[in-house]
Amino acid sequence: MRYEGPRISADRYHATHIAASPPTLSDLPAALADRQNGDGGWGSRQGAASNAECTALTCLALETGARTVAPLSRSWRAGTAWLRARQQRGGAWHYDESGAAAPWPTPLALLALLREPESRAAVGRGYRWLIATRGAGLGWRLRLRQFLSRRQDVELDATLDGWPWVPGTFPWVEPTAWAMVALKARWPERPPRSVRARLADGKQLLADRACRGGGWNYGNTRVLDSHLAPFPDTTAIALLALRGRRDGVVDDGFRALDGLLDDNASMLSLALALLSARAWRRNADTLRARLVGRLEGEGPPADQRSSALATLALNAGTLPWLGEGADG
Amino acid sequence: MADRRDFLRAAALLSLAPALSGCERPPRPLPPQPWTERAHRRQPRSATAILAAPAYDGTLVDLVRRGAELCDLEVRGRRVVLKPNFVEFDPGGAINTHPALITATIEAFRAMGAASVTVAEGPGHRRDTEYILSASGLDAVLRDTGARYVDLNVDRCRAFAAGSAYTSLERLYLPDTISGADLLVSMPKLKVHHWAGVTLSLKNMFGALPGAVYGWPKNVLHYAGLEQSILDINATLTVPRFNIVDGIIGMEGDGPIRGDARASGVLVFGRDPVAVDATAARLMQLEPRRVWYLLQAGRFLGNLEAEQIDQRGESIETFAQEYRLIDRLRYLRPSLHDVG
Repeated sequence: MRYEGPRISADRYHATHIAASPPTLSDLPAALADRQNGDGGWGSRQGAASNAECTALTCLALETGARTVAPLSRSWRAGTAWLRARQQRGGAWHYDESGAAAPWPTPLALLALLREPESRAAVGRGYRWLIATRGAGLGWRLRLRQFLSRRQDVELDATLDGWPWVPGTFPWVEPTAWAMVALKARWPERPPRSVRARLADGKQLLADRACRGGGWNYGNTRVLDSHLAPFPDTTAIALLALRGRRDGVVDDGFRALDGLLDDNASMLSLALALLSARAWRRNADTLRARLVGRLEGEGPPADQRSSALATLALNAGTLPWLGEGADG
Repeated sequence: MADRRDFLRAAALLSLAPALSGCERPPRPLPPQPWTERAHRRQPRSATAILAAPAYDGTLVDLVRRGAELCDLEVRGRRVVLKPNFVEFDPGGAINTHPALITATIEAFRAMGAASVTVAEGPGHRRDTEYILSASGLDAVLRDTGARYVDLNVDRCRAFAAGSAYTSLERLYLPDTISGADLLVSMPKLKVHHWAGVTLSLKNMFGALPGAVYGWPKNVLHYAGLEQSILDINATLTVPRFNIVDGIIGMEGDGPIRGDARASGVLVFGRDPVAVDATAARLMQLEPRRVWYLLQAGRFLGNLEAEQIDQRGESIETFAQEYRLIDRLRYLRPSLHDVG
């Protein structure tokens, strides 16, 4: 199905989709900082309105460099200030300023602000919101239909809470995984009972949503008679969330991820896979070399989320929220 | 009688608006006319055009031009946004609008004087834009044509009052790229859909709503009711529309993602999305009135009945094929009860 029709060359693609000149790896943080908006945040690409996801991920990517390089420090501080100023009264961060109640970037904002003393109060409110937020169960329509047709259209344990993209709806893999990463970052050891319970529920949900053969997609394993396939990016995020003790779900997940990272793997997938390998202290040389090769050849992708995650994954310093620097 | 019983039972079940796997709000009574005056777009008659298109090849540019001309479409000076269907990607499947058709449409509309042609999509399952573009071949289209691509999932958006009240969502968030277009071209694949019955021009607009607001999958909309959301989204979109259904290779069976490819060799064009979808359903030998949301859409968004549609180009009979259905959708087949 790959398109093999006539090709008409046009340089505009590169101007629109790929940065003009590939910087060296050491320039990556500065390249990220250059895309900062005047309000201190970052958008999904250069010039786009700031949003909480890209601002949080970029702050995380700049955090190490910000300790030693003054321009990065200014950029990082403006980014964290943008986040602090946009926290909702209830403690969450909404995606953008459109007015839509889309609080799913909250765990990323918490990770970005966690080690900043000025953000202590904001972080506390954010974690209270995160711990209290749960996904909703299956709706009456689907339950009734399954009852009437005497069959299960989907194969999901609807008793698990997890975390949803939007409160009041069903829990899915990515928001659940990032919430777990944020909770583990805040309580690397001896979490309070309420957090322990949420982490245990999240772990169960990820096990329930694992695809046959391993790995994760957005969060559905089967529809009608068809088993659904995993995606590399969500698989890597789920593996980040499960950092800790290895089990069959994790082993299957890594096996699936290895198979999913084929020649067409995106920078986003490579970056997330590298982060998950670092979190599990697996050998990441090949992943690192592939990501470096792509970045040196093409420059950072226009997509800010991918650029920030690639910079973060290649960060030479330790990433404490991944458990790096801790024993065992 | 068994057929009628099956239809009624299935219609009752479908009116529950199947959710992909999410949860939905409890039912509430619908007003007799759940749409606003602004959303009422049904004209006395509509035109659709069917053109033979045996392959994804160099003839497509002329076919797109001809289809647009047969439907009296004027694009000169307009900022056009193409909305293909890239809900998911499966290298062996027929899920997506073919890149060659997108290329041909870009070239045809440019040749017809469009001020700009942008490709925009908000994939429902995947967040990895680079992967979707690369795996589907859309990146080659963008490279070759120089067209701009907008990921609608993260596009800047604004709230609009819903044009109808089939769901309880009073406002819908629409990306600026969509609401600011002079002409929005829905480019779905010719497919059956295991929940909604068919996925064509109207259902394709699900992908126009931003994942950043509605999640991946767009669970808020599933929660509010899949078919009801299709109606509210299309009632809220007031941008002038054109529709091109990619039926060169369609999908039968367990669509929209896990079904089987079916070669139909046809393109369907039209400005009225309801008329286009009704014609496409008839090409799959399905009765559009048995698709609940199409039946509702035929009350205010466009023309559903064959008698109100001027069929241009080829006839439906020339290209109609019996698309295979999963058991639960068998009631979609026309029967004697649908005659007259």
